[in-house]
This record gives sequence, C-alpha cells and structure tokens, in this order.
Amino acid sequence: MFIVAISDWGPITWLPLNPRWENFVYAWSYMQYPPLWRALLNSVIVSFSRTLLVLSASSLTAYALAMYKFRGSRVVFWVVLSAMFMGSFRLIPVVPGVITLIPSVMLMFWFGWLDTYWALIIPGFVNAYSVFLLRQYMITVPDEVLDAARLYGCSEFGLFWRIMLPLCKPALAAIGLINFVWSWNDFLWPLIIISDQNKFTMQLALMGLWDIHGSLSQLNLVSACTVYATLPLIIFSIITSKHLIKGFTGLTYTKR
Amino acid sequence: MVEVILEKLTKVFGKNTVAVDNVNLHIKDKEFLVLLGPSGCGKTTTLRCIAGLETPTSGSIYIGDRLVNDVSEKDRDVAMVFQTFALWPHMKVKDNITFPLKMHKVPKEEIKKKLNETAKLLEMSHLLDRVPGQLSGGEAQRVALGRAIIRDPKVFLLDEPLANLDAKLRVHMRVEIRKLQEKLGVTTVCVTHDQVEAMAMADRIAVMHQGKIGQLGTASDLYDQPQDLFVAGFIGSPPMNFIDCTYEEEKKALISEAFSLEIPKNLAIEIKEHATSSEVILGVRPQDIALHEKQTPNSISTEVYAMEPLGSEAIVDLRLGDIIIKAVAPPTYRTRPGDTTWIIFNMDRIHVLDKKTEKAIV
Repeated sequence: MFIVAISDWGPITWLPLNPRWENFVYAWSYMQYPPLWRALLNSVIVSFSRTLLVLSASSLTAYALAMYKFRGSRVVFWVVLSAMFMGSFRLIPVVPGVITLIPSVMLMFWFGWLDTYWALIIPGFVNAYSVFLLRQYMITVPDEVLDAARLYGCSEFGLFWRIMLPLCKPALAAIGLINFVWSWNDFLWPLIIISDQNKFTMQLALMGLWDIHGSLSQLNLVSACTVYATLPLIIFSIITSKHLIKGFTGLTYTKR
Repeated sequence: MVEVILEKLTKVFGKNTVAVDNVNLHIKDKEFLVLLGPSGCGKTTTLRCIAGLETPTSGSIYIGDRLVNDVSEKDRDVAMVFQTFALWPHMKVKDNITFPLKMHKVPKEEIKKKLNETAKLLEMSHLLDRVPGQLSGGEAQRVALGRAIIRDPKVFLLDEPLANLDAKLRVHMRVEIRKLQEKLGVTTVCVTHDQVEAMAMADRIAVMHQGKIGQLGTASDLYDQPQDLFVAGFIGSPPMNFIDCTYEEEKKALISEAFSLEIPKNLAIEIKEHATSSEVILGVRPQDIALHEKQTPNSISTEVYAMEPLGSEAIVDLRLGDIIIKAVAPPTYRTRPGDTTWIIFNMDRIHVLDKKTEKAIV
C-alpha cells in the first residue's frame, strides 16, 4: 500500500525508482466528498469517543462484577459472557451482527439518531468482551491492596479511581487499542446509518473514491489516502505499546 | 489509654464455617499481643474484624471506650501492616506513605513534616522517590510500617508482618518492630504462625486453635505451663514429645510400652485428683531429656534413629518402643543411627495430660 502510494502512474514495481512523495500532498485535494481532513476528523471523533466510553463503562462494570457480590451478580456476569460468545444475540451490538442489524437501525430511528454521530458512538460503548477481559484482570489484584486503601480512608469510588484503574493500565491499553481498531475499521454500520457526506468516516470516504473515479488509474492517490487512514492506528499502537504486550500476553496483575 | 476488648466475638463464613468462635480477649493499653496459631485457626479473621475489614457475625469489639462494631474501617483509627505489605505499585514510596494523610485531608505542610519525621524514624529518607518495584523485601516492609504509623493510629495491627522476608532479615525486623512499638507506645496486635517470632516480640501471646483461644499468657507461661495438648505441642522447638502411658496407682508409676517411670508423690496426687481415667499422655520437651552413653539408675534404653547436628546443639531422634522421640544434646555429642543410648527425663519439668480431655493435669 505504501509502495503504491509513492509510485508514479503506470505499472506497479516493488521499488519505485522515483518515489513520488508529493502523492501524500495531492491526496489532500484528491479526496473531496468529504475532504480528507474531515473524514479523518470524523473517524478520530467517533473512534476516540467510543474508546473512551467503552473504557469507562467497561471498567466500572468490570469493577462491580469483580469486587462486589450482590444479588444477581453471577447472572449479570453470565449475561455478559453469553453476549460475548453469542454475537447474534448481543444486547447492544459492538459491530452489529447481521441478525441485530435491522433492529439496531430501527432503534436508532426511534431515538432520532439516524445520520448523527450519536448513532456511530453510542451503540458500541457497552462491550461484553472488554468487560470480561477487565474483570478477569481485576480479580487478580489481591484483596489486601484494596483493603489497605479502604483502611486508610479511601472511599469506594476512590478505590476504583486511585487504586484499581492505575493498576489496570496494561489491560486498559490493550482493550483501548482493540476497541479503537474495531471502531476505526467499522464499515457496515456507518454505511447504513450515515448518509450526510460530511459525517462520513474514513472508511466510507475511501469507498467514495472508488465510486467517483471508477477506475484504478489514480490508485497511487487512493493508496496515499489509505496510508493516511492507517496512520492513526499506528500512532495509537505506539503510544500504548508500553503496556500493550503486558496487556495482551498476561492479563494478570503483578505486584511489583 | 487504648485498650482493645473482644467480647464473645464470632465470625461464621457461609452457613457453617466457623472461623472465630466466641473469642474473649482483653488487650491492654500499649501492649504487644500476638495471636499465634496454625493456618486456618482464625487469627487473621480476628485481626480483620478488629480492623473493620470483616463484619463479626456476633459479639462486640471495643477500641478504647468505643463499641466499634458499626464503625467503618476508616473511622476506627487503626493501621494495619499486611502480609504482602500491600503497597500500591503505581505510587512512589512517598505517595504510599502519605496516602492516609491525604485521604484525611491533612494540610500539605503537615503532610510534608510528618513524611520527613516518619522517613527519619524508619531510616528510609533515600527511598522516598522510588516505586515499590525498586524496593527489597526489608525496604518494602519499612515502607508498609511507615504508612501505618504516619497517622499516629490508636491501634496497630500486624498480619504476618515477617512472613515474606528471608530468615536473616526476619530476625532483624522482629527486633525493629518491637523497638518501634515500644517507642511509639501503641497498642499492637500481631498475627503470626511462627512461635519463635511470637515469643520474641510479644508481651502476651494468645494461642488460637480452631477459632478459639487455647491459652493466653506470656511466652514463659505457655512454654512452662501449657494448659492443653495443642498448646503443649505448638509451643517449643523442637516440639514436645508425647508418650501414651497408663498411670498405675499402686506403683505410683507411668507405664508405657517401653518403660515404667516412677513419679514423685506430689505428681501422683495431682494425677489421682484430676485425671478422668488412668489413660494419660506424658509430655517431655526435647530439652528436658538427658542422654547417657551407659546405663544409669532409672535410665531408659533407646535406639538412635537419626541425628541432626545444628551447630549450637544437636537434635537426636530416638526410637522408644513404637514411637520416635526427639532429644536435644550438646553440640559435641556424637552418636550414630542404630546405637543404643540411655535417656533420663527431667522429672521436675515433665507434663502429664489427660488423654480423654487433652487438658494438662500437671
């Protein structure tokens, strides 16, 4: 993709002799419906908001499931688990499964959210997979660590905010990245729910390029736009890389 | 004056797992009391009840004059050092230590002053900017102690504070903890399963067994006058030898498979008065067995089973009838498995227990 993006018109070679770096400049004017900056901004707004919402909602839910034994807590946990394994029956779909697609669209229609950012952000913010992973991480944090804070005057929310969340950084980083990538790459749901070009996410805008030009003659510019579409994912991975490996490989708390 | 009083304290987990069973305990002001017992005897649960981290099923807990059953853990003014130290790995040492003050909204200047005082007292000023991951076991222990003492708590609770340290550091830290407690003059309750630790640190020791307090007393009380079979076997290293015997009134002697031991008159009277039957258990500490290479009057013949030379002393395992007993010998004592050796019990220090009730008779 990168090689095509810096290639000249004509046949594609493995190593372009005269790399055309200016393609990355032309890309900005090449994409117009919506402009590249707008599509990127839309995707950033949607993906960041959704990731932040997923992290806050999942961490609070996971904390309750991991730390408190309340009436029905096991039932709630099993509902979360089944929502994770049975994609078609997701209560609130992350990426709508085919079966829940039409009901989800209907729901958005009733809420009056069709063609709004809300429809892109809100349906994905409760995520069974994230709740499960975070809960599994949280139950490995020894009780003593929380008991100590409790004994020294920390409130229940303080326990979550000052102790548990910082300890869960690796898990939060991993889950944050997974959700950011899901959201960034989401195509079907925005395609159905958004018709205003100014609200197109990057994935929809890229598809628009094919519709308008209908040929591969500008493939290098299309690729340059696609490179822009992947950059935020790479940047986000680098930012979270410190915690990522720990988060993905061993979802357990380590004392020191 | 801060006393801690437990009245009929009971804690039941689930439907019928009794962790603490009707415990009555009066911990005096400025006292260092150790709850000693094997794993699962209820000592940590008792401590957690005092801290407020567990809710008692029944009974009362007083700290000072105040009934604290319904007082939340953070308002009880107690500090606790946990077995794993429970430092927060994402905070620097200074943030770990000052956390209790920040939570109680103490002014910044005051926090700084207290931090410096505490760091100086525990000699850890150089550690303040590190994170727990960069500390050794002993340093982490000191940080945990610092966090506990910074708020001048009324009661100091220690849950197996030395269990996670290596043997050498443990010996050093138990002295340090005792000195610190004396300096601060705080009523302290410490939980441990290590009787040496308990005897070294405590003013008084409460031996716990199956949720109950078996015996409460000073280290020498427990060592010299154990009240039941459990305490007799638990206190002392190597543990006390127990030999099943039958008391014969006519001979005024304890008869076992391997020997017939005449006992002093006063002992015989005690047994006659207090034993529920003639079946008794003779308890002899390994230190109270003298070893002889040749037969002497009243000596009992045994066969050497094994020998452990420990440097300062030697522990000799002896086969006496069907059982193996341990005796402590001087470090210069030389013998080999299979040798015959003669033993004499120190009759002034033997213990006789009722086999049926497992209570001490003498």
